Amino acid sequence: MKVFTNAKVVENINIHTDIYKITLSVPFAKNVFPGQFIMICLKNGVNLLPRPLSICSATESTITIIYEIVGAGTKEISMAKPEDSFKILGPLGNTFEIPTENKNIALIGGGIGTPPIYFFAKKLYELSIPFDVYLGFRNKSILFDEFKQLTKNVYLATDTGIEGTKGNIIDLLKNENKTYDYIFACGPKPMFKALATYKDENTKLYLSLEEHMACGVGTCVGCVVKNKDNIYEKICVNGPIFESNYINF
Amino acid sequence: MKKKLNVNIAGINFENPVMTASGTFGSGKEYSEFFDLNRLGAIVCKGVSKEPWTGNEPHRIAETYGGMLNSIGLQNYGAKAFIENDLAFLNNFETKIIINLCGKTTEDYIAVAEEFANLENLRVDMFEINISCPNIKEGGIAFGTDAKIANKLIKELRKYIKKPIIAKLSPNVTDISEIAKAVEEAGSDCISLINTISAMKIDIHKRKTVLSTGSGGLSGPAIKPIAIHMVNKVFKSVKIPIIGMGGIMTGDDAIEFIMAGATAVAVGTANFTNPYATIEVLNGIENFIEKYNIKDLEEIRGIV
Ligand SMILES: Cc1cc2nc3c(=O)[nH]c(=O)nc-3n(C[C@H](O)[C@H](O)[C@H](O)COP(=O)(O)OP(=O)(O)OC[C@H]3O[C@@H](n4cnc5c(N)ncnc54)[C@H](O)[C@@H]3O)c2cc1C
Ligand SMILES: Cc1cc2nc3c(=O)[nH]c(=O)nc-3n(C[C@H](O)[C@H](O)[C@H](O)COP(=O)(O)O)c2cc1C
Ligand code: FES
Repeated sequence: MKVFTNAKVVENINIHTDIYKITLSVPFAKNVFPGQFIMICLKNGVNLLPRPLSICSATESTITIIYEIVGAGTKEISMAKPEDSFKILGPLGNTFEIPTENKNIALIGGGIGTPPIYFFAKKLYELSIPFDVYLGFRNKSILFDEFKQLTKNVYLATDTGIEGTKGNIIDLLKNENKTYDYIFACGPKPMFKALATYKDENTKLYLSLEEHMACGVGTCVGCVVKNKDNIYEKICVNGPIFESNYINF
Repeated sequence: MKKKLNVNIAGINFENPVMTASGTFGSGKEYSEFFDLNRLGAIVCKGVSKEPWTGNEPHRIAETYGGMLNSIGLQNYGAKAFIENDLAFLNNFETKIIINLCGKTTEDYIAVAEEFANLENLRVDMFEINISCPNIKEGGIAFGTDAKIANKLIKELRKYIKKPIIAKLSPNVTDISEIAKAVEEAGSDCISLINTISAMKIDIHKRKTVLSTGSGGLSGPAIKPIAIHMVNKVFKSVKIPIIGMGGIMTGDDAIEFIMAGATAVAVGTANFTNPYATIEVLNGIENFIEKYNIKDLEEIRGIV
């Protein structure tokens, strides 16, 4: 059930350059699942459209989001202080589906795509389902220590080599050379393309997609991706998570 | 005394003057999770064509100062699927149902109108003709930007559509009153305006347009003063009623349209920023007429 509600800021902290972590008190916190997102409305009427942001973790009464300042909207969100509030719409979108049998699972986070992957990792951990984690960043990582608490198999690469191995996600996968039944990934499009090419034929690859959005509920038909039948599907309601063979990207 | 909110257009009674703008409310299903659709004067559905339309490549959405650009390309799954799913769903409600038709040729428009002509058990109250579509037989210029072509299209459709017709005007013209008179002469029962305004946004870092199509249509509060101007101009040129739209966010915005001459109003882009936008506009109208002790919206319609 989607809700449009006021959400009070509990905490909004700068984790490192341009990356912030915001915790919001929301009535639907108990009902959110890994992979879902919210739309957050800005107060400045100039920036009309609400911004889609993924949920990184949730408690009984709060949700936490990690976001990067890339423009006016995320800049405005970064200025919010505890006790300020935002109108938000959520929870939106589908969720990462938990494999039913005991399978080999890899979770992959690229840059600011990492937060929703962390939410899923926590879920798998709670269910005692084992998984490996691969993380790739430009130069500084996020959530590395948090993932480390969930599994010892966390592999980290950065483009600059400042943290972890110098290289990218594909380099890490090649190094480990393990086969996976399931890969769940969120990150930039070039990473998705590389993963789709690299993966074993039998590996099921699930990708969490991004596109410009207006409504978040399926009415504007703005946020689309082509499926294998060349029909445009709405990412906000049929996604954001799609199986890679199902879409044509 | 109870204030009079209902309005009459082409013999049809609407409980209140608040409608949804085509393409911004789907067919209501998504927003029925938030409130009772019967509270709306009418639901104007997203554009429907006879055959499915693919729509444009993404990006289809760009944000601009106080507004947004879209280039959806009227993606829809065609009249048959629309009737089975959307129209059947809407028939569970009492609110008035307005179908928005689109086409690339006159024959296209006729073909989609005919799909709705003989529906046994499903109600449709009115048809809105989106004449902003490019006419592929006339080099792709929109039907609605040429008075003669607009007149011919509505005249032709008048033969096939028994229910009242609303001609939805494009603002991308030199003289909107000329087009308004042309569709009135052709037998349109009502005029709705404005559709989106042609506009472009460039991503200066990527050195390309944000929308895949280059240009798109601007909507939202940024276009309201233009819409008010055009509604007022049309109000002074024709006798048929007007449904006004373009940037309505609040009840006060809606009142402004009514004072410019609109009989009813439609809420579009605002639905994206707030799923309750239509209801808040309705409440805002009620507050306004309460405050100024207005007994009938006729008292303020077109007073400027
Ligand atoms: C389902 C989903 C989940 C997301 N989760 C996160 C997250 O957890 N953390 C995070 O930092 N970012 C996330 N993003 C991206 C985030 O929505 C954009 O960075 C943000 O909207 C940019 O807004 P802005 O005003 O700062 O930037 P501007 O560039 O000024 O925004 C202008 C317009 O473009 C849209 N836009 C710009 N970039 C994107 C983008 N990458 N995706 C979608 N719309 C965009 C904006 O929403 C706005 O309408 C997510 C996007 C989607 C679709
Ligand atoms: C995403 C989007 C889709 C639209 N689709 C249609 C459509 O299918 N048919 C149509 O006649 N108008 C369409 N419109 C135009 C709106 O109905 C309306 O005329 C315009 O947006 C101005 O109103 P607003 O500023 O309140 O949005 C669309 C507008 C938007 C923003
Ligand atoms: S954001 Fe409107 S349909 Fe997805």
